[in-house]
Parts: sequence; structure tokens; C-alpha cells
Amino acid sequence: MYDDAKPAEALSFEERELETTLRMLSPVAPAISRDRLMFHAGRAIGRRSVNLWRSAAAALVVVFGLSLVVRPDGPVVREIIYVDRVVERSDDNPTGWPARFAFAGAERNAAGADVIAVSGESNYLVLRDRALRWGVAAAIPLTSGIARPEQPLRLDDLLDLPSQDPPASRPAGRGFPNGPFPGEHL
Amino acid sequence: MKHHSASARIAWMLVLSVLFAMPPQALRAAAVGDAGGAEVWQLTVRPQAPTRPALRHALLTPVADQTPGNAAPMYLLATARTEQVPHRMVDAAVLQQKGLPPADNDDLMHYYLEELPLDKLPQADVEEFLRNYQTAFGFLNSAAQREFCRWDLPTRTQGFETLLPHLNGARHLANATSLRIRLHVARKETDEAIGALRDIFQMSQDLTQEGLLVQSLVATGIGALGCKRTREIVQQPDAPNLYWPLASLPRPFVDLRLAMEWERAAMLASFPQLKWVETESFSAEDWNQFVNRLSRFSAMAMAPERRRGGGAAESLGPAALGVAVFPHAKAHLLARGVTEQEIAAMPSAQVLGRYMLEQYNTKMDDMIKWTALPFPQAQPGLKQAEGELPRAGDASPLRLLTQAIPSAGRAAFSVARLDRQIAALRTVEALRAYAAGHDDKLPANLEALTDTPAPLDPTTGKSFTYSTEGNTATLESPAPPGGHPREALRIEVTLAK
Repeated sequence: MYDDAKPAEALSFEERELETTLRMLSPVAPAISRDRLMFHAGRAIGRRSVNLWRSAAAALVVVFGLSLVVRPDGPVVREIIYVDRVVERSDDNPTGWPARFAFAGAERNAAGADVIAVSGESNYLVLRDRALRWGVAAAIPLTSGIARPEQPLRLDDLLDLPSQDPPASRPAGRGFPNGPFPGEHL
Repeated sequence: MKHHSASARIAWMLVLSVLFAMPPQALRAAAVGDAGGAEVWQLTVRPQAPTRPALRHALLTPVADQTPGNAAPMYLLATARTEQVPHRMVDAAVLQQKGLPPADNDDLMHYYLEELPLDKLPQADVEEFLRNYQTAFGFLNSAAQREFCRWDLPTRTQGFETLLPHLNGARHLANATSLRIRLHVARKETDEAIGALRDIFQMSQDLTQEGLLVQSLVATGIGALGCKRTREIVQQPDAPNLYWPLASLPRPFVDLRLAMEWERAAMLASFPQLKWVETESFSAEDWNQFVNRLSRFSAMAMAPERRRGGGAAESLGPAALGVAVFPHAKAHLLARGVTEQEIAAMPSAQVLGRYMLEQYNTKMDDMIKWTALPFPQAQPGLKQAEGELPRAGDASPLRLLTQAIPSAGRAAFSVARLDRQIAALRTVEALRAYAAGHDDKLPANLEALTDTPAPLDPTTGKSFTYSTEGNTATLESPAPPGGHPREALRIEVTLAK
């Protein structure tokens, strides 16, 4: 119907009038912009998502608040956890060693307190494990490393007898509890 | 040029960082050039023929001098008394006032024992220090003369729950006796020093009787303390030659095989259910009790610092463990010649219990059997036996059980090292004896020591490596295969005129 190759002078009058009319037409701005449409669509979706997250967060805040206030009694889970026990020395317990764990391995922590490795009743095995890896001296620290007020020990004290200081002239030898033994010059 | 300068700066920074990161002991060791980390003894001795009578200075109480009775109660009195002695700390101001060198350790016993050379030992102060140990020394001396030692520990009833509170007291007492020897040596009281040394060796020997492995390790440590004091004694100008007393000490000094047998006794006492397997009355309830006890035991068997979460076996209950073990147990019994029909007729718990007991005994026997051999022959076998034990984290259900088997390889070397110290001291005494009869000359080789033969190195089964330079002889013993360089020993013996 339309032929580019057709020269202008070959157009009929009607055709030339139509051409003139068409040339006078100017484009009209569309009522709906594609870009705008896409923008509004995206914003609508985003708002819905934000609202969803806001609702979820609000619900969580409410649940958390309620859980702080209302604490229902649930099943109690009991778990035994063995931890190193710090044993303080005292007059009653000058060595700092609990009687039950008198032979447990002990270490000194940074604060200088004796840390007794309380591993239950079978602590011989822990001790053996350490002694084989570190040697006896490192695995079993001597309890003599505990400072106590210095005072001479005497048999009278041990037996809770009244003090009876031996006279200076008392003969020393075997049978005298705190005296030198034969060959003893200490 | 600039590049070289920057590299040098970085290298120096690295060197300084390493130096600052090294502990003082390591720096000290590096400074003295300790033969690549080996333990080094530097001894100055004088020629001396063996004492006559040869065993006048016996290092264990001779049978003729023993007194009737059990030594253990006397040792317990001695250790209990020792533990009551007040501990004393170093007072830096007092040391300064007395012109003594500053202490590295705040323990006064350690200062006197390990830090002060003999010629600087403040004799009056040490005597005063030891006065509180008089009663304990008396009990110790009485114990060391008793004809036998039976501790009568409840190991066969309480198993691994047996407490050993006397061991710390024994170590403390050994330290105090060791200091007493130093004081006697400083005062030239040789007979008294050797008398106290005998108490130390006898206590060490008696501790190995009827004891678990830890008790034997403590005994080994006390024996090593005796060797340390012996080194001081033999360097004194008038020191008697202790070749024959040293040669008369038991070899091995500590019976590791016996200690391992006590470990087995403790294990079976800790799991009494296992005893019933052999009487064929091992019930499902026994299995439940056994597994529950085993799980608890497993949680406690390893030092806290080595626990790295439980393996799969720890999380299994009795039923699940039974299901996991049963196929192995059945295969084990079939291999032992038990028929399918006989297994089918046996209660499941009986099959499981028998498997567990036999597996434990097999693995334990594989370890114990090597401890009956000399260390050089035993070491490869012990290593292999240890390698075949399930390790921490293994899924093997047997791991729970085999955790009770101690690493005898390390213990065996500790015992052999003590024997090596005794053998080395004996060789030093042989050199002194040779020099006394050969114009104060050292022998060209150890084979020349015919009157006082040189012992073999107990850690290698061969002679010590021997060389001389002038009036100094060097004895060397390598670290065991796979061992740390510091487990080697080098002894430099200088013969003073």
C-alpha cells in the first residue's frame, strides 16, 4: 500500500492532503509511563516485605517480653559438669587438700591459689596419666609448698600434752623422741 | 643495599623475638652447651680402691642387720610426721645478710637442696632447718631396717579408687633425707651420709613392693634422688669407693612388671562384674552395670587437659553398645573355637562380657609381657603394643576398656633411666678403682676394667661410649630410639691428682 519508491509527484490529491494532515500531528505524552509503572510496582512489593519483617520483629519482641515475665515450669535437665575446684587454705585445712582428694593432682593458677583437679573418685587414673607424660614431680606437686606459721613440732604437741620442755642437760639418744639418733649430728 | 639492610633488621628482630620467647632454663641450658640437650654430669673424682670389706657401705640394709617386722607402718609414721613439719620460705633479706646467693625458688628446702653448692651450704642453718624432721628420720631409719615391707593397700578391693596419700609424704621425706646427706657430706661425715643414703635407697626399694604404677614411679624418683646424692659423695676427697655396693643393688631397681600386675588387679577390682564372666553368670543387668560404670570411668580416666570430647563409644548406652559390640564378640568367640550353636545357646550378655574381658587381658598381657624383658629388647614391643591400643576419639567400643591400660613404654624408660644412673655411677667407681691401681691413670677402654668390670648401659644393652682426653674420661649414653635428645646422658669424669 505504501511505497517508498513512489515519487511525490505521483501522489493523488487525497493522498497529498492526508500527508499534510499527518505532518501536522504531534506526539501526545502517554497517560501511563512504563518506568513509573515499574517503580510503583517495586515499591509496593518492598513495602509489603518491610511490613512483614516489621511484624515478625514486633512479634518476637512481644514473645521475648512475655518470656521474661511468664516462665513456665519446664522439664529440668540435670547435667554433671566436673570443673577444677579452687580450694582455699584455712586453719582447719592448712594444706588446702580436701581429704577425699588428698592425692589429686594440683596446679598453681596465676593468682597463686592451689587448683585441685577434682575429677571424681577415679582420680588415680588422671594422676597416672599426668605422671607418665610429665613425670612425677610435675604431675604431683609436693604439698610441702604450702606456707604455714613456723612452729616446732614436738611429741607433746602431737599427743596434746602439757608442754614439757626438755632440760638442757637431758641426755640425747635413742628413746628421746626429738633427740638425735645414734650417728646423728643434726 | 637498602634491601640487605631491611633483611638484616628483620633477621635480628626474629632472633631477638626467639631469645625473648625462650624460657630462662632454656637459655641457661644453651649457655652451658649441654651436649645437644643431653643430661650432663661433670664429676671430679680421686683414685680410690674399692672399700674392704667390699660391702661395708651397703646401699640396702643387709639381711644380717634387719630387724623383725613390717616396714610399712614405720614408713607411714615417718611420712605422716614429715607432712606435719612446717614449710619454710626463703627470706631474701636473710640470704643477703648472710652473704648467700639469691634464690630462684621461694622454697627453702629447694634452695638448700638444689641451688646452693656444697661449700656454701650454711651448715648451722641447715641443721636448725632439719631439726623438725628428727622424729621422721628416726621412723625412716627403723623402717629401712625391717625385714619386709607390706603396704597392705586395698587395691584388690577398691581398685583405682584406692588413695595413696603416703606418696607425697614419702617424697617430702626423701627430700629432707637428701638434704641431711648434703649436710653430712659438707661436714665430711661420710659414714653418716652413706647411712642416710641407705635409708633413701631402701625406702625407694620398699615403695615398689605391692604398688600401683604411680607408686613405682615415685619410687623411681626417690631412687634417682639417691643417685644424685651418691654423685656428691663420690666426689669428696676421702670418699670410699662404692663400686661393690652399687653393683649389689637390684637390677632392675624397680620391677615394672609387678607394678603392671597391680594395675590389672586394680582394673578387675574396679569392674567386679568382669570377674563373673568366667563363672558364666554374667547377666544383662551385669552388662548394664558394667557399661554404666565404664562410661563414668572413661570420663575420669584422662586428665582434664587431654579431654577432647567423647568418641562415639561414650555416647552409647548399654543396649546400643551391646549391639555395636556383639558382632565383634561373636567373631572373637568363633575364632576361639566356640561353635555357632554354643554361641546361640549363650546369653548375649555372657558373649559380650567374655569378649570384653578377653580383649582387656589380651591387650594388657601384650603390654606386661614386654616389661619382663630388659629395656632395649622391650622398647620396640612396648611401642607396638601401645600403637595397637585404640586412641582417644576412636569410635571403637573397646577404647573405653583399654583406657585402663597404662602407657608402659614411658614408665619402662623411667625405670631404665634409673638403672642407667646406677650403672653410670658404678662405671665411675670402676674408673676410680682402676686409677688407684694404675698410677692414677685412666684406662684406654672399658674392657681394661677387669677387677671392677664396667656394667652395660641398661638403656641400650651395650657398653657406654667411652673416650678419654688427658685426665678426663667421657661416658655417653644415647637417647632411646624416638626419644627426646634430653634423654641422653653424658658424663665427664675428671681425675683429680
